[in-house]
Amino acid sequence: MATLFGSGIKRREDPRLVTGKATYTDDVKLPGLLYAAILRSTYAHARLKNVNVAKAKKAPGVVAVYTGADLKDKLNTVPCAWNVPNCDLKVPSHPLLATDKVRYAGDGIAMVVAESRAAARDALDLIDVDYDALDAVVDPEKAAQKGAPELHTEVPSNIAFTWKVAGGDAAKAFAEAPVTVEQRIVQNRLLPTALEPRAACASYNTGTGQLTCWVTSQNPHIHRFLLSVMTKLPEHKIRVIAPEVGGGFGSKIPGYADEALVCFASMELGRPVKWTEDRSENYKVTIHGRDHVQYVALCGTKDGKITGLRTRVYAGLGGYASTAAPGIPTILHGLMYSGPYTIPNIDGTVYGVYTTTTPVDAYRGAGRPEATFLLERMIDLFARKIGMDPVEVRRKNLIPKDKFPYTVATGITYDSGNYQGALDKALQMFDYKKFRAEQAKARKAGRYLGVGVTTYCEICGLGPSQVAGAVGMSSASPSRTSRSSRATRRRRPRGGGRTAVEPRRSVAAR
Amino acid sequence: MKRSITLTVNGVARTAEVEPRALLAYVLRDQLDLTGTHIGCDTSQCGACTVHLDGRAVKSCTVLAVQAEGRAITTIEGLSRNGTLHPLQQAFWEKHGLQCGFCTPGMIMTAADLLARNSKPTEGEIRHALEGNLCRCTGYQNIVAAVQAAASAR
Repeated sequence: MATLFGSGIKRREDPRLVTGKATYTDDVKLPGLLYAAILRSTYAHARLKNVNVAKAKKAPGVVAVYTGADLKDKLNTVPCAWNVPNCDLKVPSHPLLATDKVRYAGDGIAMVVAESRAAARDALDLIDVDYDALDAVVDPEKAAQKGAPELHTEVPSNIAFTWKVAGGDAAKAFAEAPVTVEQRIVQNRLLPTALEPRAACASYNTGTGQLTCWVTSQNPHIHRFLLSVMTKLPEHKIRVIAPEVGGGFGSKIPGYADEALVCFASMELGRPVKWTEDRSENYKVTIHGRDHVQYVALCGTKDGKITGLRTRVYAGLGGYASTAAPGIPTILHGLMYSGPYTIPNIDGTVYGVYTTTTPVDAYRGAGRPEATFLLERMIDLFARKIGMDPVEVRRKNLIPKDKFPYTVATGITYDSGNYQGALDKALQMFDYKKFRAEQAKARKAGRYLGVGVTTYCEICGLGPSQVAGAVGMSSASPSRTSRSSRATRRRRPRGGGRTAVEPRRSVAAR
Repeated sequence: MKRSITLTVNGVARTAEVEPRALLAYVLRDQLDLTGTHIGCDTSQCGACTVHLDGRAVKSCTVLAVQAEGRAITTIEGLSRNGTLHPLQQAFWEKHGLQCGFCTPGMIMTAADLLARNSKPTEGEIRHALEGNLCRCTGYQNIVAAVQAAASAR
């Protein structure tokens, strides 16, 4: 029998997964099911002069065609749910289907609902869109400069927000420091690429007024909240079901326009409606990750003491502010600038910038890997400049274990830790000294061996909690797991969370 | 103009009215209700839609349903018989060869084809056979270990 910790257990999820008996969102089939397809902008930035759907409406099997104009007053816009405090966040209107302008290649323009997938997809080709192309800007640093093409009239220079984090006196530290290193770092945009494309299947019961929506979701409670905002139905009238989810990596956290659109179509037509993206649609519409241009400086003493860190970061948000987008390059990024180190003076500025690209939101680590790479890269450059072992520089600056609880310059208090102990253990397991000797020997023989050193200290566990409220996460809701004991002494785990790859059922059972 | 096709799916004769352009993957899923076959990429990159056509693994998103007329198809649902898991299904479970499970049916069907032709493949042969199947969660180490375990269990 497996012990509680330290032994492998067979996952409870697997029998259905290995036999093809699991239900993913696109597997859901309901009586009277209709299929939706969405026409996506082929331009990164353009004015919509005319959208003609007359031919599509008459196509065989087509039940309805909707454009942005058809949704006005019936639906709200796509919300952004992370209202980061102490910054000037501007969230421009994000219509579920574009009305006047498209702001990235993939922006929705029209939705066809038909009796089959093929009929819906065929009808998209019958829609005539008259675009008036505008200049695109895809680089967040360039988009923030004066004269760059502007996406939203209410957002001058495309700057969604300027967020600052500071502690100590960085200006003084840099003026006095004997050693300074500077670096421009590009953390490129990337595609989450869950193997299962996103999908949503909505069924509105006109008799009860109840909406049920199966959706590829990592957080069904957050989806219920966001669908409620978009559809104008109260949350208690919405049931969100996240069945099996085929990978997410963050990309199935946000609420998307298309998910609300199928709900709307079901409410309008009184029949269930399903939409599933294809792979190219996934790359164009499902959120991307990272996309930072970072200017960083770090200063310190010749014997390896870090005294200051300064950053200026341009964080690309894409064409609109996605669900958690503003919180990622700020709360989940800037507050981590001290890492596990005692850096007394920090001065960071993050510009959130709209660009004519697919929206950027949470991807694996979400802001935190961007902060860790930024800091650890600078420490390597610093170590190289002063000719010190990169491990020793880190050791010298780690928060000593007798200093906890410790408040770093970004204002966060770390409750406990033994970072030197963890470092020593890692070095011992790897046998760092031996590797350095081997490396030197190999180098003489013309062979190049490398070793990378990094720490990682993560801000996490945000919601649902007072912390989540304090940092402005308005969508944080009860995705907690609780246990209730019943008279039969059977423990019933109750969990609202849904993860795309982790064996939640196995974990809860254990 | 739809055409009527008859094919043997998991040992049972099935008939479907399909458009000539209909892909086998969609006919299996939408018309024959066999949703264990997944569609991940539409472009024959990911292999999630792999089924057996007359005993050989094919990516069913690149096979027209009309091409399957009169032929035998095995999907993931047809692999286990009489309620016992196929050795590959058992091995994927035991070796933690999956996380989200979306790629798993395709992985297993491809591996089953390999083992039918080569009962004792080397690790290199397994990796070569699975190169057309993508996993985004687990990494391939445990998938290869599962195929090795299934080969030795046979």
